[in-house]
Amino acid sequence: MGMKATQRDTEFTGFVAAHSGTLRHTAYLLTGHTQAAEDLLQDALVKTWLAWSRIDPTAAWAYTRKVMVNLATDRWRKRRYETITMDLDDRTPSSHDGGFSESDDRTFIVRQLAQLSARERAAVVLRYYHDLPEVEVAQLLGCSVGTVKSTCSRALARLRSRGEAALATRSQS
Amino acid sequence: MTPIDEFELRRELAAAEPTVGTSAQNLGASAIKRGKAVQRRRTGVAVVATLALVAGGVGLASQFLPNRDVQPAEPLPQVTVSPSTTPTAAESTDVAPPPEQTVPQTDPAMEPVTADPTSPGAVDAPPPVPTWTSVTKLPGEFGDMGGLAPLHWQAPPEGDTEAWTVGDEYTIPCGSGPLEIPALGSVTAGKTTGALGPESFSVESVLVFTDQDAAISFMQQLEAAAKACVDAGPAEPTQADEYSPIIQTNRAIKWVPDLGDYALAYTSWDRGKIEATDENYVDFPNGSISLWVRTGNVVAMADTSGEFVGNPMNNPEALDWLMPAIDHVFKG
Repeated sequence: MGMKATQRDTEFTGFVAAHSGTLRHTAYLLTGHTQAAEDLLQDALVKTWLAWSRIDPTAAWAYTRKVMVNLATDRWRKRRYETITMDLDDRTPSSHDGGFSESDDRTFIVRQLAQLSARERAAVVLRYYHDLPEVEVAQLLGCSVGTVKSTCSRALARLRSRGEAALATRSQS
Repeated sequence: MTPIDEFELRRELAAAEPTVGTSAQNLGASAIKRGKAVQRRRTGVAVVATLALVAGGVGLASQFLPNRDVQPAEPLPQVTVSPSTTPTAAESTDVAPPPEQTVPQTDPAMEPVTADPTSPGAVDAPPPVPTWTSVTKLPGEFGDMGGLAPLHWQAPPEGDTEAWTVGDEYTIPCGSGPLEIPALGSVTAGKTTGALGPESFSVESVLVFTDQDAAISFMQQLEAAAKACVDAGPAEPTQADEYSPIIQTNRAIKWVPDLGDYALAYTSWDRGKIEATDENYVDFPNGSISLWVRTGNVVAMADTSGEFVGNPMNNPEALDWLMPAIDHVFKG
């Protein structure tokens, strides 16, 4: 039985309203760039809408996340050949509150993630931001659990702690 | 270096929120609008395909089927991974000791066919075979290949790998600009194709030269130009802005023994600094390897760019990935 177009659109709109914040956050961690994150999120949502009649609405969030992970690796490789930049200073200062250095807080880990490959970045985001078990991360990335373990281990070894980064900066000044 | 621990990583990832973007309402509406456009396009294609099938023209229908629905087709980029070239002092050029030599080649299958003006049946000398005019770009599709073609010529999408498409924009990269190879002007036929995959971006090319000497000259000039690029010394590393990593691209050229009449591998790999204050560059996951093989008057090239860490020539699997494309040209 086909779904009426209006019902589909209504359900989809509700899904986006409920989950766009977290999805956008995921896209940002995967791309390191606000505009690229918006593009990634929009493309993933288009694919989700197209598949809406085939997916369980309660699982749409996980479906969209999987689509973003798949697109992010392709997208990252395309960006490699277009620009190698990860533009982190693209926000207006007035859009956020807080007296501390928000650029340092918000962009520190994103800068660290820049040195990872697309798959390493995806594994880190799925494992440590979404707290997915290794089995599920392996399914999403299309690899073995062992590969997830080694990928995450390798990635963590290359990410520097904030404390050490601050210490290194002070020692140079 | 003190690596980050899992607890700090989780806190940092949770705190790294992006700026406020498109509202949820507009986001949903935009996705629906674009999705409906895709649906209309698919429906139109299905109608065309159906009509063609009814008319018995299955082959005709295939040319109307788009490769992608959500994103428009993109022109394939140059065969380069970064705009700068900065070889490290440690990675010196390793070029083959034996120079390219002229060896009698009697394989008529690889020689361009020309009429013999002295034969009894000849009336007029045939017009000269046109040759390629660019000294930097490889031909996408040019001249009579005599049946030769890259392994993945016109290959359809497979898994997460996009369809292989023809491109006239491929160049041989160097930080200061593409390599100039005057001997490209002796190419009488050539095909070059590329595709984006889940792990890499790949290019394959087959070049047919006027004769073996011209192909030898090409390899000599390629080797010399690549060596000059490597020996040019480090250029300034690139950094998009003060928050981005500092990227330095390194290159190397190396003779590959026991492959065809002569073979070269041209590689690149990135090293970077997360912070400008970092003392050392570390390997970043981005590299490429191009394998050039000459046999007779034919040169085959296979290239792949992807998540290599360090010089791809140090990866024992790198050449193995490229060999099927080379074998296809020379072994069938």
